[in-house]
Amino acid sequence: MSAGATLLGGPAAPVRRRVVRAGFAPLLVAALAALIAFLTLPVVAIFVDTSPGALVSSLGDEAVLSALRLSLECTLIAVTIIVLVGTPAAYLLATRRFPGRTIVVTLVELPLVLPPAVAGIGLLAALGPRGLVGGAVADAGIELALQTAGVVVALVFVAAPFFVRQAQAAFEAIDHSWLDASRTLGASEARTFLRVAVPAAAPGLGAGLALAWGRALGEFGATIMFAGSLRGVTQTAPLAIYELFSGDFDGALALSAVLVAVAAALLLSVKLLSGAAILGGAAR
Amino acid sequence: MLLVEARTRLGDLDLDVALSVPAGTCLALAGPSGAGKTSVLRVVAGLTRPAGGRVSCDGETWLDTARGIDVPPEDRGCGYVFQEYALFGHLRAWQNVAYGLRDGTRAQRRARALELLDRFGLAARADARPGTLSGGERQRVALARALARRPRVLLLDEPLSALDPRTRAGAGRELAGVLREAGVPAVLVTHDFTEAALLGDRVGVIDGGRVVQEGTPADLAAAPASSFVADFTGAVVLTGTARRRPDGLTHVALDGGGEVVSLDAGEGAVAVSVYP
Repeated sequence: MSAGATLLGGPAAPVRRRVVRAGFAPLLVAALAALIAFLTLPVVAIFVDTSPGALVSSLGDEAVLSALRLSLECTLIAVTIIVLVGTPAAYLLATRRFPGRTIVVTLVELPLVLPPAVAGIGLLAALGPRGLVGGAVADAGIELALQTAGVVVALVFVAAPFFVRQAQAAFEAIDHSWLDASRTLGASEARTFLRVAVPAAAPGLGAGLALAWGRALGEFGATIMFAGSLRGVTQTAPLAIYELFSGDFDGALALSAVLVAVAAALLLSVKLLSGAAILGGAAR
Repeated sequence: MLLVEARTRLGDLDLDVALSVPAGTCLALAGPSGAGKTSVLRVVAGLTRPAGGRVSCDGETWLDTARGIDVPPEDRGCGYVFQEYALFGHLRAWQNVAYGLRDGTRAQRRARALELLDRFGLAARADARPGTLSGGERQRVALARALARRPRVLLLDEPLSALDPRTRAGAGRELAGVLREAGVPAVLVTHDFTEAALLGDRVGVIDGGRVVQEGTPADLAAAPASSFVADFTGAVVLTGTARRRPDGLTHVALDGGGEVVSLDAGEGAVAVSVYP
């Protein structure tokens, strides 16, 4: 009996395998199609529901404009800080092995898994007026809570890991012999970093920048908890959308449409710029 | 004269070598992969710091672990041609060559780089990115780049093995000429004895982190010190029993049957290396 079953099972197996093989490609396509449909539907809906008139009139609204301006200013300052500090930090993590490295990497990634509200509370507990180091910060003449500077602090906190992770991966992907070659050609470590590592990692750094900038533009929870929602001072575009939402749904939709357009334009230009770097540094 | 002494543990390998290379000569280190060949080059260049050892070039100390001297790679002046060449992919060919040049304006550095590329017949490819160069062209750009700084030592890691067989012979002859012309000590590593014999004035056979025999290529082939060296030089090693005959020749009755005759004296159980 068992021998008979084996004999029967033998020829049946290839048939089933062929069915699986034939069905796999459409399965991949279906999964991607479902994903794209779900991910783009809300974005499409924002534009469908926003009349061009509402879009134009919202751009004339002083509160909306100041929120957008504040968003751009704060995110620009935040990503500048992130890139200046995060790039060398990521290079260190990518090129050196030291005890406790795994712990350091985990600490850098921690804000990624923190709920934004927790991040906001944490920032208050650390840097707020009665926070852990709040006194020292105040003594240095820096006011953060309910100030624009506080928005920047919140943005740096939540967005930095996005950049650092990507930058670390980009540096790790560089052929290490390039760095060695640079040293034997008379370049110090610092010069090697600037002339070889950063240009070679530029596409990855650009992708990290786009991710971090996108995350900063959309930041809501940590900002409202730590910096509040004062119009013209700490009310960035996402906070303004939330405020409009309670009274003026169309206005909230219009500002959302603008924010989507700005975010998409930023992402696209960063991608195009680092794409140029990819072309420039093409083909290892 | 380049003097190297290094003892260090690298993973599973115990590296323990002592080498001296006079100016204008090339020492070819040949051995199987994992023998520690590249590690020797890295120690000379300052990219790997051994636990103990000394490196000096023309009387200038680059490394002396006992005295705590360790000159960083950028100040040693080694021209290093890496395996796979390690050309910077984001720079053009001439920019790769000019990378090590510091003196003069950008235009002067470019002119010097073009001059070097021209010497290697690559003037037309100066603006190409490494990704678009052929293997042979890459090898020559890497050589030009290493020579641009007028190095005090030349280090070459498998300079020919990334090339296809047709390019290899020509590139080998060209490289031999470059080494003679450079007039500095050169250390070349390769897994291929033929290549070592072609390019090295002396050949050191390296295995398990130690130089097991050093000599001219002819020495090594004529009198391999061990069956490993004989094997490595391309000989077939056979065992048998030697007996001296009245004609002055040594006849060896091979264990596998048959007989070979040698001019070398020998008696009893022996190993014979035969070059087919």
